[in-house]
Amino acid sequence: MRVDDRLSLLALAEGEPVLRGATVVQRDQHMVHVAMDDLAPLPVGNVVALLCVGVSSSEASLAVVSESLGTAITALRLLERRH
Amino acid sequence: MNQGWVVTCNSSRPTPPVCPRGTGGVVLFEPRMQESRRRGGGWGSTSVPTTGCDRTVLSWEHSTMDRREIYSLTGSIVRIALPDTGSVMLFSVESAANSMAVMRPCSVESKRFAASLEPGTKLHLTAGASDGVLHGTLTVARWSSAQRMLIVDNPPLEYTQRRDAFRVPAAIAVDVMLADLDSPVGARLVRGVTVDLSQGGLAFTVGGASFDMGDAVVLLLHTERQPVLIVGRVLGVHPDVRSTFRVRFEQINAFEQTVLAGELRRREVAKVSTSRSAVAAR
Repeated sequence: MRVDDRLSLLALAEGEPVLRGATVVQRDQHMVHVAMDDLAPLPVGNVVALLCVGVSSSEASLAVVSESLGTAITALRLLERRH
Repeated sequence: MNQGWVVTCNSSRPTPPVCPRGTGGVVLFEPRMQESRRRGGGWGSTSVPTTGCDRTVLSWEHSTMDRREIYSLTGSIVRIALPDTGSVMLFSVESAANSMAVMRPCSVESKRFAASLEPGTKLHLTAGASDGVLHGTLTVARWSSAQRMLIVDNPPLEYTQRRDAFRVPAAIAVDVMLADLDSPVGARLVRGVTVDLSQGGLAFTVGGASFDMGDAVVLLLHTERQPVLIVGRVLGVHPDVRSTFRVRFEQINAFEQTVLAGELRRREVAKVSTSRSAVAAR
């Protein structure tokens, strides 16, 4: 996942799956800041799944919604992977 | 203390067994010696001097603890694949003796695969056992077009338990997130169903989608209590069920891990209750 990559997010809203589109605006080791395509905020503390499809491979990760910055930017804290 | 081994054998003079240091005194017999024991031939004893061993008496059980022969799989279905490929072909073991084993292809695809193999090609064999997996590396001797059989060598097999968690057969609805460039959000959900499930992975069947080994997948497992989000990696296609893929979990939320554990426990308890009810009904 790099800056400007397109992401698809799978979140749960009242137990129902919701798909959202987003774009990576900032990335470090444990955090990803994304600009959501629509303005409906993701609830802080919820777990979401990210899917980033590249040319040759796809990358997926779980993340926790850390905070909403303004109306469109959402900070996501990536969960650790199993070894 | 280095002393000679006492080896019981019905052959005239066995080859001195190799016992490398640190093996705990386990010696692997040549297959023909094991064959002799099965046939119940006359027994004799001989002492074979060896070096590097710390025990003096060799018992048969030591050599069969974690290794078995292809012979033991006669009539069984085994999975054969080229190393480093995801495609698995099914064969049945026709016979195995001395340095040769004969495999019968179970499908047209398996037959085509076997016919294309060059002598000397290495193959990976796996076979499910009740509590683990038998596996070994085979070398192709030749394809017998007249008999429609694949002739391979007859190496000893090894037994391993690769899974960390107990697997439970379970048909649970699962949504699989697929990339979809035509969708405004870049993805869509496809409904599938699990075949089996454990704390560490699952197998699911889904129509209209295909995955390669190593693909990352996002799954939404609809357990009885709540949906569970999981990120996993595709290990390959299920060898026995069509359109079914095996996935190892790579990420799952700590709380949802307990939800999954509860779901597994509930299904196990239900299975035991059902068996008890069946016994009580007799």
